[in-house]
Amino acid sequence: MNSNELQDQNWVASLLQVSDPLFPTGAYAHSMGLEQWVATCGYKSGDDLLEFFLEHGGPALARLDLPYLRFARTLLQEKNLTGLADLEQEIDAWKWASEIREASLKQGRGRLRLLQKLWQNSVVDDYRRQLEDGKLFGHHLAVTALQFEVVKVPERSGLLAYGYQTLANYASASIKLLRIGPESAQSTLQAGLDKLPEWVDQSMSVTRENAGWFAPAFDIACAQHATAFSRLFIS
Amino acid sequence: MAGTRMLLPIASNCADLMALAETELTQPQRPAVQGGVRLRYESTDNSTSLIDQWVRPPLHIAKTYHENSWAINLLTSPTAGLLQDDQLKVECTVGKGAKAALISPAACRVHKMPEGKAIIQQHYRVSDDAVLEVWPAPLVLQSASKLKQITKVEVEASGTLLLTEIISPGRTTYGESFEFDFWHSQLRIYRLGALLTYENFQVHPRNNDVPDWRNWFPTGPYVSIYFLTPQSISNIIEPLNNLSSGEVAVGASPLREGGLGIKVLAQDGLALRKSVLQIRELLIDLSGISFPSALKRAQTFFY
Repeated sequence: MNSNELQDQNWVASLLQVSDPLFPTGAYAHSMGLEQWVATCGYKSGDDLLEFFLEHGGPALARLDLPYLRFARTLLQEKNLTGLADLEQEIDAWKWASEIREASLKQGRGRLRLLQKLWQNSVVDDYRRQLEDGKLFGHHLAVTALQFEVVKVPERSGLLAYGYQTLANYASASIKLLRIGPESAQSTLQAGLDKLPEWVDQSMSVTRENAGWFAPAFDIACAQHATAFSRLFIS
Repeated sequence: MAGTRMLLPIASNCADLMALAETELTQPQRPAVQGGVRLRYESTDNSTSLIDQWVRPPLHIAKTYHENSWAINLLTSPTAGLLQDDQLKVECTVGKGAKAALISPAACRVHKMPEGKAIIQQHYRVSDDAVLEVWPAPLVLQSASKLKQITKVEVEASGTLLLTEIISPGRTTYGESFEFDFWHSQLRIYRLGALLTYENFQVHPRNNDVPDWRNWFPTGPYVSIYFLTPQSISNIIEPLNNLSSGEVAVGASPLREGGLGIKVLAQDGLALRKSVLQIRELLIDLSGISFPSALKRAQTFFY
């Protein structure tokens, strides 16, 4: 590897920093629907969690979240914040369960606050101003796209990182929800990550017109979580 | 009807017979239909009038029934259902202060189609102080059917909308369960011009889509209800969620600008009817609007 290539890898450390659970976005307080799903489906083991990754978590990434992350990055590269506002309106509208919608806003705005503090950048400032004016939302997907632009993460690496964060967040919540320890959670996460490159590949061909995901039972569980008798997580 | 050949002239000799055979092979089995309705309701003297209507087969609209300040219309189709390349277009505008209900009391079957697809396009506009109820019987996605739905709804701030959609994943009497080819659906609901709800999905059962629905109720229907109202909905979420039982799963979630979305998965038709009627009762109570009793006579699938 020559020095230019090494120079080009400088984004790796920043990506590790923003992807680390130490980066305080409040994600630890959200199961993003997993808590009620576990209760409703009677999940018990790491195998159950892997089934969730394969049937819901991964396909939802491939057909909805990752394409929207890619669309947001393209708009940011074009400095098209008006287009990004339309995209965020769409994201807000497809997050059907209110807890999931609010969780996305909380995590996105928390990430944005840190982004502004740690990386002074005019695009971040513009985004923040438009958020304060009510023109943008601060959804986690949009702010993550902004963050990847700021720290210059290559497109595919950004998609893989977002996929990792999503699955790792579920795995982290599962330790409190299932009878599994950290090692078992890591084994399950690893099995999910084995499939992640495939989901990223699938996401690359999804157009704005076709981006979408339908999981009515999961949506119902997410909605029921808001009125559940007992809860560990906010969502 | 599926499989009906077009009538062709009688052949006079063998050459004509050959030509006839070739012609028959290349003729479409049935010309697709492109029908629909365009309706406009206005409020006049404390009643609602259907002031503009355009109807094209296969849809048929019965004479408007009036009760109190409401206008109720039944939409029916004399055909067997939707076949390859059929298109239905429904456009409905409810003017300020008017109250209208569109009821479709018979299930609409989407039939097997070797290629192409059937398309249903709907566009509803609800003005201030107006009420629109759209309450169809289920759409039945039969084996090897292909359906694309595009729905757009625009509701003003003080308008009320009760929009129901029911999808059955096959004919239960034939043991069908997710044997359709695809169901594509795009729904956009706007309130005050801003996009409030956006659903956009493609369900291909062969790709093992919707495993959650299939695991919970493999032959049961899915119901989507959107209720937009200027009233506060915070007290109704829990009673709606509490309707869930072993036979039905109900999830209700607030929308950003007032109103809520409700999703239901039911074990079978009986559980579907029971839960939809219970949900309606709660929503109608909350709305503070007197819905006409004629809806019960009109919606014979449920009553």
